[in-house]
Amino acid sequence: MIDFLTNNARKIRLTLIIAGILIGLLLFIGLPVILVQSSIRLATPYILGALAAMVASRAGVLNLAIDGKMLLGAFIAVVVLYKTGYNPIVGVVAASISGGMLGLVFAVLYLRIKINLIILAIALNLFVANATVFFMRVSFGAFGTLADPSISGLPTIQLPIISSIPILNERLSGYNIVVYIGWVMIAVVWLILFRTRFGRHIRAVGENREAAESVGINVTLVQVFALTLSGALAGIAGSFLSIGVLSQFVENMTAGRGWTAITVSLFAFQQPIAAFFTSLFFGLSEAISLYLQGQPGINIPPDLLLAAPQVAALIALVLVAVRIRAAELLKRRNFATHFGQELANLKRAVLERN
Amino acid sequence: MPKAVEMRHIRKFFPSSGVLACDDVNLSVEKGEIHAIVGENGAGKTTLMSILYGLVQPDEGQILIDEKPVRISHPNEAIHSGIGMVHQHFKLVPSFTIAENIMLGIEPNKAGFINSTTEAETVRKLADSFGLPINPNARIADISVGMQQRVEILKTLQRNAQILILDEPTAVLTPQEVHELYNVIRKLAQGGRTILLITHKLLEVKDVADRVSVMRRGRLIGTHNVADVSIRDMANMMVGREVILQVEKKPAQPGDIVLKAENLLVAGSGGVPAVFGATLEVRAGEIVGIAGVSGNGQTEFIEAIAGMRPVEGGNISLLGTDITHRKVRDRRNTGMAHIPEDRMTMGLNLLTNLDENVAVTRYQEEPYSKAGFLQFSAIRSFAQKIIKDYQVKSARVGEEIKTLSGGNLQKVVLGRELDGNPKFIIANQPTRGLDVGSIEFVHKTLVEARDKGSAILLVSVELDEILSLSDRIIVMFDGRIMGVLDIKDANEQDIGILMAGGSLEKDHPAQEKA
Ligand SMILES: Nc1ncnc2c1ncn2[C@@H]1O[C@H](COP(=O)(O)OP(=O)(O)OP(=O)(O)O)[C@@H](O)[C@H]1O
Ligand SMILES: [Mg+2]
Repeated sequence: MIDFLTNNARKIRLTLIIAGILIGLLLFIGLPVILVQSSIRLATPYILGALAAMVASRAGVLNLAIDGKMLLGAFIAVVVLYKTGYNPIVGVVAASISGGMLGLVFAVLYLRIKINLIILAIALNLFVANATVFFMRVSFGAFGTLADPSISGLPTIQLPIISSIPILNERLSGYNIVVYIGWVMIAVVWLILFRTRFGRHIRAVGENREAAESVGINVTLVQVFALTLSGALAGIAGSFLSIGVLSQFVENMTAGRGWTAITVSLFAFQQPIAAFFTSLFFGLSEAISLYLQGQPGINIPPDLLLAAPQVAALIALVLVAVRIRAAELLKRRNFATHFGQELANLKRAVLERN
Repeated sequence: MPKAVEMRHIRKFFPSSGVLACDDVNLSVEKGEIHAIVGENGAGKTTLMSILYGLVQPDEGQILIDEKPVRISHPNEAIHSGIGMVHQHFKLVPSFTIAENIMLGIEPNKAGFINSTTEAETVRKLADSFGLPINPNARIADISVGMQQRVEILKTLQRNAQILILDEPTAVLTPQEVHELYNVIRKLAQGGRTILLITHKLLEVKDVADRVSVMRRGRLIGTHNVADVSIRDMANMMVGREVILQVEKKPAQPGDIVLKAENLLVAGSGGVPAVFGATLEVRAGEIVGIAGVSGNGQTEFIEAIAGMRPVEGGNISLLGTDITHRKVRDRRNTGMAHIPEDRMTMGLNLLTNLDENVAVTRYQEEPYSKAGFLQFSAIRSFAQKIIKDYQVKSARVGEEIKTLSGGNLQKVVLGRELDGNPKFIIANQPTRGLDVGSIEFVHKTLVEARDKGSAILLVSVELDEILSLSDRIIVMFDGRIMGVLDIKDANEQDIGILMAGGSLEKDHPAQEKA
């Protein structure tokens, strides 16, 4: 009698997860191939950005400067390739280094000089947004867009075995390297967080800083490392936006994706695997909005279509809230009927006996 | 006897609060002894131990471990010198398992990857070798407070601590857990480890310690063999005056019913009833004590009455008004005051100052606000009044309260809740962590409130406290009320039987189990 509620809850949860996987699979196979492909591409900056936000907040630092770090990564990737003829991979590496450096600066300003976290993040975001525009004009004479034939975009890669399997090949193969880096990073971050000493220290620091301090863990050092790693991940996400799509840098090209990435990480309860699927959901809603805009027969106002990802986010939020509330109400109602009945029976028995 | 610890001429001044927490303190602890440190709230006990553990740096003074001078500027150095500390507030990571907490910072690993099987095995072996069984894979969030403390002790032992500091280890334990803890401590001391024990419970000092040092207002005023001093001597030394250990009170003169709870059904965590059909009345001018081993529904019962936990069945009325599903604020406006169990998380907001903490229950009323604007001068003078009336030491209006000692924090809560003669007072563990002088004060204040006509519902894990304060006692077991005793007929034995789930009469309905 005691376990029936928890058992029920577990069953409901399992059903929901299975339903989610089934819907995911159906979408994966049933949706037009270009829609799947663009969802996966559009999800990439969210995946990497959410991992960046996750690593920082697991270490107890709310990192709201993801957007700035992404933008810097996007810019640096283009700058490094501009008229140098380097392999675009160099751009990705440079982006991650620059993001990591900015993460380090963030860490030092916050942990050593103790600047307020929110103000610091806003300042960094604004600084990067304006500095990129400034250098674009002064150093490259470019207004709004920095593009040049010398900037080569990331090539697409055909995955060895997968590219020969029918349904999978066109859906899973043929993306550029950053998309795959995103997938690998999901596993890497999961391994770091849950299987290594460093990751365990990160989580300990984030959850109970004093506990970590009292056993001699250097909390500041852990946070500095976590913020640097977070910056590097955000930097890679940025490189995807510039050299992974059109091989150009556009003023403010992150368009708030860093912020969405933070939302993704929160939605996913700071879990890497959940963040992967949440990112895909956001990628899909963005892809649908783009896809519908390109369909001639559809009469939806373009502004509304553009807002699709935001609407999706809002609906998801409301659904999560409703679900939590409903589960709670249901649990309480079950409890009251079940044990209220039992209590009444008990009382009747006592009364009858007397 | 060789000395395990010597602290010489330790001095510590906190400029932020203007308190001289340690004033030329000399402490000497022999190897293998259980050394108790007692003293009033704010006497500087925790500060002295934090200095030994490297958490606080002294302004002056010298520390010797095993008769060799050492510098301890960081807990790491303390750990290295063989010192371990179990803090007043545990330092554990709730979502981690027992093994993960014990091995935090010293994880067995290959190239940074943790081997969690070895880890759990190491912890299991450690626990077995000290006869402290645990389940290495249980999560901290799911285990009892007594078990959490065991984890803290094992944590220091895993780091090979020879000198163990325990800061008020029994404040949050049930009587059985206390008993177990002291067995463990004795065993460790017999094995050659040195124990430093801070406590307010003088009876326990008598029970378990070899020697006792008494601190008063930052000074260590003497060290004695426990066998040579009585409890009364210790109490008087701590406070510097005669302490009345007995509560003096006239028989109660109960008036009208103030609070009535009928057939309450309250859910605990995990969907099991925590309170199963409890009925209770509290009248004006009486103190009703709830006795019971903790974890038998007292917390949930109190939370339901206080409005912090939903009621699934039955009803509660206060002064004739049905409050079963009312908000906390409505209940307070009807005349309820609540001294919560945990002052750190429920009773106070440690991030803000004293003024806001005392104003928080009444800031919407005149004279503390007018036309929607806070009246800071009124709030401030109210804070001043509480500091004075309740003798909150080293507290100043307008200052952060987180540096106050545990006992003084409790006095702030008491002052806020008891001021203004509330009709109904819930006092949940009102003297937890308080020194004898303050306990005397709290008891006197509660009895005074009763005599002014308040109805008081008291919960305490200290049976002594229940017996000496209550006019009627109800005993809870497994979410049910096992019996109601008038103080005239109550004795420890009967209560003990009821607390263990037994019954006093053969065919009492309460013995009927579902
Ligand atoms: N970090 C700090 N900053 C300022 N003042 C402090 C600090 N820590 C402690 N104090 C003050 O030093 C005094 C001694 O505090 P301490 O915590 O050592 O008392 P205690 O003897 O442990 O009391 P209790 O029994 O209530 O725990 C108190 O008046 C307290 O307000
Ligand atoms: Mg203390």
